Amino acid sequence: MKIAFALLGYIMFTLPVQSQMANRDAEAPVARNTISASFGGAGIYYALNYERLLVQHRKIGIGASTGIGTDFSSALFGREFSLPVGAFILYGKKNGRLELGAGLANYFLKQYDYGEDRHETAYRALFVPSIGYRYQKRTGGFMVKAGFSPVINLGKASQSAMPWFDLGIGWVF
Amino acid sequence: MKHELFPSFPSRRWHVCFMLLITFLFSCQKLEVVEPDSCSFQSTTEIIDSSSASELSRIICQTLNEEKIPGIQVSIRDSTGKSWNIASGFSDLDQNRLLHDSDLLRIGSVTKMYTATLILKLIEEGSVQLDQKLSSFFPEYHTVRDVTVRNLLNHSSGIVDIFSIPALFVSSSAFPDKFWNPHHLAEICMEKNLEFDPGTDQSYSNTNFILLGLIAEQVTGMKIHMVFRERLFAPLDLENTSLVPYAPPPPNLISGHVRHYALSMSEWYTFKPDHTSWSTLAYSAGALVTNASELSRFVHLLFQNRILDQETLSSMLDFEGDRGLGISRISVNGRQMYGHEGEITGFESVAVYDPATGTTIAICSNKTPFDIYTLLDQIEAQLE
Repeated sequence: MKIAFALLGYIMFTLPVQSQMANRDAEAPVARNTISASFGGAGIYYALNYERLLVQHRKIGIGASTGIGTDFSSALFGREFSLPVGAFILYGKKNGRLELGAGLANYFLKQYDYGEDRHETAYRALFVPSIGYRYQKRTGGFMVKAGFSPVINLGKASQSAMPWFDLGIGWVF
Repeated sequence: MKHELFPSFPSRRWHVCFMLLITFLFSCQKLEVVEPDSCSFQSTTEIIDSSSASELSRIICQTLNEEKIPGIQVSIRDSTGKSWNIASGFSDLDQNRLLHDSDLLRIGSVTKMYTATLILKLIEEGSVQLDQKLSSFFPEYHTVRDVTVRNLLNHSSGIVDIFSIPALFVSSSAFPDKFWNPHHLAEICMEKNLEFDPGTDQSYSNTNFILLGLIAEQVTGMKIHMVFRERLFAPLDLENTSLVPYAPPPPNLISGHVRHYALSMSEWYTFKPDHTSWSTLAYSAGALVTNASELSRFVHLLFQNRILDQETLSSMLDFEGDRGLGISRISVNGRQMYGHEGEITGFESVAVYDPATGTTIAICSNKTPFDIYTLLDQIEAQLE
């Protein structure tokens, strides 16, 4: 978890600088919507996502995302799911760009009450920062991304930080 | 111009160095070297002479230091039931509390010996038959209908191992307070195709022993921790042994430690006493809590015919390959012994019985992984 905070600090430390530098670059027409399928990230398992690029200024793009994630294998499918929301920053002038993200996985966990022999749904908020590479053309088309996205559980009885990754493939339009 | 606003703007190389430094600083936790005389609690009995005791203490402390293990308990019990117990090292990584021989640790799959014994007791009572098919316990699952209780006990069922399903690992790691439903775990595996026809091969599967726990609940009408308490722990006076978290975690249950970056983004992942995800994933295949002394006592009583009838014990030792009914044949310095090894997140243990001498050796540690068999070999060699 400490590493995640260090990562966030790093992001906050360098972003203003990157933004300043990007202002000098030329701007291109931009496709702002993305539909993607992902594994990992704030979806935790497999997820279907929608992203909207809100700001594109020279090298810097800022966007928001949402989706629904679950394990589509038989183990957890239909029992547990995540509703991820997040914000991301794309940095770079070319099609291959650095992606920095901060996600919140609204996770609905199926808990078993052993004494009562019944299930209850428990809500857990997981913080999922990410850093990675994204390939996407500004004008739209195929998108692919890969990144490191640790899953940080800040719950009182369940603090944990799990290294995780974020793989995605999608279509930009 | 760009450097005027941020004159100290770091280079890319600096970025990388910064991140590596932060990662290094936050991930290192050093364990101090353990000295044999300063950190061991030994019981004094006549079964180990003083020179052997100090040599055993040295071997254990050497293992602690070489394998970076916080603490180890060892119990050696002779054929008469007298024991020599030692606890070396610490109960946690902070090293602010020495490990006591009364502290309780999770023993992982050594639980399977207890579960097998419980089922064999139920067989002696007539509640279950060894060759009874699962169709009589779980009629809705056709895939496993021809699997027998014997197939479950000696891992010849072909049922998929619950620990081979990645999503359950991820969920257990991300949610340490997750409480798995054993019925759900069993259903997941029973819905999958068998790996082979029952009885035609062997493949170690924790699911086999989860199903045995569910069968014990079904035929007794009691919760599994109560079945253990009533049939085994209370009659044998094993008052420190319990199935946690089905029974509440005892106050002297200590944390386990995994030296594994992939679980926690740091050098050590800690399995705390109130965490439930890993132990409920294991259920009757691996959720028992005890100490080395009580573990060696259980194994001693089992092989001294104090729990099961001779005929039942013989069937337990009816090996296919190296697997009996909840028991493994383990080679220790070339000697064939009976027992089981256990590993659950943060804990490693082993318990063996030497049929030639009647000696039992039990080792429990609060770290995984480590090569517990090398330590077992060294201890056994010292006893010869």
